[in-house]
Amino acid sequence: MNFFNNISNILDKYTGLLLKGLGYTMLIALVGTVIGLIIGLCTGIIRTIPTSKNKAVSIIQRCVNALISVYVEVFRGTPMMVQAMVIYWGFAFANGGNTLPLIPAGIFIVSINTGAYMTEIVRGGIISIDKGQFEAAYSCGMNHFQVMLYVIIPQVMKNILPSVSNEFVINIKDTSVLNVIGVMELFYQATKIQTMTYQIFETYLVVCVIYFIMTFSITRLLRLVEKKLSGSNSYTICGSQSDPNAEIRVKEGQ
Amino acid sequence: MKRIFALILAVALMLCTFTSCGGRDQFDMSEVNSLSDLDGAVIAAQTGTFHLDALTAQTEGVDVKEYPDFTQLLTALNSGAIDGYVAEEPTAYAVIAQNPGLSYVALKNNDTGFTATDADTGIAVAFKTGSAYVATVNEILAGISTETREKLMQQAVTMNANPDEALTEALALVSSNTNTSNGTLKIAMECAYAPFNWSQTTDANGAVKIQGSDLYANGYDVQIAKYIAAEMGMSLEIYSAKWEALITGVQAGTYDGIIAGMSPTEEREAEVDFTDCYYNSNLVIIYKK
Repeated sequence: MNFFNNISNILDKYTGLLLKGLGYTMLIALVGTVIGLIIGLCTGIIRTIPTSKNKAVSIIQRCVNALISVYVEVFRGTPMMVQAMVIYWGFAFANGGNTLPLIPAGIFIVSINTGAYMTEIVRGGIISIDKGQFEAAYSCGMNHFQVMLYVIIPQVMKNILPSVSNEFVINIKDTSVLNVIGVMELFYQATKIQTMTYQIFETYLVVCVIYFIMTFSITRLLRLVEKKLSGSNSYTICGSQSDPNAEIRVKEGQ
Repeated sequence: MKRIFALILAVALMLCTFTSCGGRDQFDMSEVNSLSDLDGAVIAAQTGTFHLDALTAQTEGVDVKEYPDFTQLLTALNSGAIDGYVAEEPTAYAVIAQNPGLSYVALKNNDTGFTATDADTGIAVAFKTGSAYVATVNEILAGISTETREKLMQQAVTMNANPDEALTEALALVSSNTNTSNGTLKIAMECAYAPFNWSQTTDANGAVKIQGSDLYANGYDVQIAKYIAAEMGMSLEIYSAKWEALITGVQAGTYDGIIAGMSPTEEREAEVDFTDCYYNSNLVIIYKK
């Protein structure tokens, strides 16, 4: 019974802190994932530009591609906790003790970290699109950005959505490492609460449930979006423009 | 054949895992009077502290464990994973006030207990190397008598037991200076090391708002910080930071000083400048009755 009392005490006394932590966690994870996706799309588009015949342009292209590779390798190859420490305190030492504001710093760190992963996810998405689609679009006279914007990226978005939602869920959990620089997300609030209650197990159990509710509802929500994007299961294939009997009707479950 | 072999290996691995779950014989701590009586006990200390160094170097036959923070030491003790842990005497008062099932062995430094200098177990204020504040603060600290220090520590322990309840008596250390024209003094602490400094949800007992947080800091360190800031004619800002980030923050200039129950050890002295000690305590071992 004591156990349940402790839990209800924590919920009662520290609701404000927990809700605030939850809010910051969601904010950082959501904005971080969106910015990360934008970074991923941009780098994906830049990386797939066909090599120019002009010598000078092709050298610039190669340099940009090399920079993107370095960015991806460095941010994918080091833990986010370490990146947070390096960026936050590096900035403070470089600017005479002025530290980055915490929430924007958190969003920045999550964004560039996610961006590195997204770059690879988007690249995979673009590779998975049939080569014929590029050729058809180019032969229509589109330039690279038009091809990407109107033909490839819409298909890529649908294909990579499961990976993106996966990344979002990972981000919700991974914002917890930002507690090392003092970002007031959910895990940080939990560390604060446990020093006030001296009840590690109860505090983290509450936080554990909150995290799970967050990630579970997000995965369900994004599953719905995926379903919506993949379209209806009942559709009609028109076999002929003149003969109405040539239609093939596909119904759900068949 | 390969599949069967893999299966057998997996079962063996699982069995190995389960064997480590077996119960542990508890060590009787109530009979301990000196360090040599600890032979055979499982004792823990906080990572990166003098407590851990002393435990490792000055005891024999002790199974030494380490945990990153005090709440985890306490949880480990309550769960039976360890027989006791090393702490400063004031911490023991605070912990026992909140956990009636615990007790502590009062080991006196350099007598029945650990061999330690003031630099090991005293606590001092830290400033950036070369700071002019050190001399000023030393003068202020010299004016606080040992009785006042002890009284304030007792009050801090009482306040910690019920952080939201007002003390019945006045605080032992209050500055009469109300002029704050000399700027702001930015002080960092963990806000998680009762009774030196802790976080609470109200501003009871003169707790100070933690910058950028909804919580308030109070404790022995906070009262000392308030007194120092007031005597220097400055307004006080309290920042909550991780233990590892305290010294870095002062070096970077993010905080002006550290008042966090920090002992002026040789290694830290190389990084920051310390004032004289504002409290001296003995190391004790907290155990379950």
